[in-house]
Amino acid sequence: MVSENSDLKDFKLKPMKCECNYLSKSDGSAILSQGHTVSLVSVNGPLDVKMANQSIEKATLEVLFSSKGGKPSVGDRYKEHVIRQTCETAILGSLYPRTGITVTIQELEDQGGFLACCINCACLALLNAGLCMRHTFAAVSCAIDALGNIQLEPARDQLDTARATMTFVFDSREKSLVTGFTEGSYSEDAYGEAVERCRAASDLVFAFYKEVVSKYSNVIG
Amino acid sequence: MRDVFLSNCEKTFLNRIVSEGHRLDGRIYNESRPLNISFGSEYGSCIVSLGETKVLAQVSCEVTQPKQIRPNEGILYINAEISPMAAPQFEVNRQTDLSVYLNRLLEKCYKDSKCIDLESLCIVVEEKVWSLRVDIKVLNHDGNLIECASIATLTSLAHFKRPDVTRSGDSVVIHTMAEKDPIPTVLFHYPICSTFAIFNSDILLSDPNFLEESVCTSSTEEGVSTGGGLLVVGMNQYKELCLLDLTGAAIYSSNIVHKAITGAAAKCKEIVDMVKKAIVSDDTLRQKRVKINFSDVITQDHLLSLSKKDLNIKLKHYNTDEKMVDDDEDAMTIDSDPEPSKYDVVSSNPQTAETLSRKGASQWIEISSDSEED
Repeated sequence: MVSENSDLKDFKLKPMKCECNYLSKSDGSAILSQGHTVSLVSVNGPLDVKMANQSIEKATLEVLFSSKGGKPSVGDRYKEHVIRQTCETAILGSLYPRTGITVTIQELEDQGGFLACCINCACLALLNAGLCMRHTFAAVSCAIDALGNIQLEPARDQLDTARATMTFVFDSREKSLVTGFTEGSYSEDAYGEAVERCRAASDLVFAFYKEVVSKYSNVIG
Repeated sequence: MRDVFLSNCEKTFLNRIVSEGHRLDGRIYNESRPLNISFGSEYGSCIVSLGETKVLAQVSCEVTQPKQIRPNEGILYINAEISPMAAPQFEVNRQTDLSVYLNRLLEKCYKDSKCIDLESLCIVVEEKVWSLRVDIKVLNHDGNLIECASIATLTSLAHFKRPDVTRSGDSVVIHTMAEKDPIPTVLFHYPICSTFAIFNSDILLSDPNFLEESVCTSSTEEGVSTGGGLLVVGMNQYKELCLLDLTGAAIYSSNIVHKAITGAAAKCKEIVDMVKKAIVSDDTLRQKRVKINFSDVITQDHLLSLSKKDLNIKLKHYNTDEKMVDDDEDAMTIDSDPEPSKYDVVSSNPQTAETLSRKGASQWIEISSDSEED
């Protein structure tokens, strides 16, 4: 157990860099790089939407994912869906009834761990837009290689040889799992270990959020 | 979301200051906003920003069958998209007039001007040619989208390199970047679109921002046309005209078009030189194995933009720099400052709209208590 604990503490995530308000016309925007993976997210809202899309008890959340080149694909829709569900749990939509919130995600560089980068960037953009949220959320990706080792934040070449890739999203209050997105085959034990490793790593991401936000506003707690 | 409406005050104010020789952001008529080009890790991907207007361009290629009428030519396809990221009034997956117009202009400028050597994209006649696809994504729309998008298209096309191909008999082998050096695209000339906003049918503003663009194409409150419009001039580095497009009111004097063309000629040459320089410096960096990535565009420039005002108005004559003080010194000595009265409006913050536009003492008359008694 002791060795496992030290294992949990002894890690580092790739350097993260973020700029808020990168886009002047959006209500909130953030560009985030995690290592060599870069994504850009803009948030608009609450704004008026068509009657058909209005909901009387909460805001309608719309997530649009746009890849860098080429036509939109099924994979893009799938990512959109995952991100929308993650954001929906976090945003206090009941405070903005009959309105719409639009989250637009633009891929800039995909060098591994792209989904995690998009989710983290979306959280920063939502914070920047000043929307009320239940909690913030942080995503960490990992890969299980052929030998069964867990690798946090895998690079492109590690992803190609990996047996399974996983992305986990945690909330900031109880560090409980919000979203799990996995591909490939793995054992139950490996899954449990990967969740714990990523949960521990998510602390670093939350600390980074705090660092970014404290640059332009007062941070409580 | 519905379109952003312009208030009448904005319209009249902008029309008035333009006719008096000023612009909101303190530029002169033929001054452009700063241009910035940054490249991504792949060949043919770049972000071009013109002031706050930002456009992402990505070129990709694939092998396809050529068109029946042009069996020995490659295919160029340009696709421009304006997502809600550009501005909240754009809707998801819906073509607006602006995006159709942008697509058409880019096609005219790059396909119809034949700036790309399409024959060099041919692999096997009538069977296999390279098809280049340029994807333009508008990230932020703050006016003059056309110029920004055209610079992005040109830069990404000039920056793009396609994989090398060898033919042995009937089979065609496409080499990866690691096996053989990729081949750059051949460009005969470098056309660029530049936009001019026409005010009162005789004033030309180059590189209009969003407000100037919307004011010059709109009519006055009575529905009378102001004689304004947008003129797009496409020109290459040899000062040859490639494209001319006008939206808004009709022009009744040819002088203004001539003026725009001479203005565009100098500007296009300058921009093309800048694009070429950016590509050369990027190439030398890549040869030194420096990793170039979009993460380099992340700076802290916009950190405090939330606490700034959305509309920055710069009044040149109220500059507090020392240089300006020197110029004003002679004027100051001549008309010695009148005694400041308590009704004078004093600026609290230099270079903002709060500063008064009229100099001199207040015209308000102080009514003394004696006169009241009379």
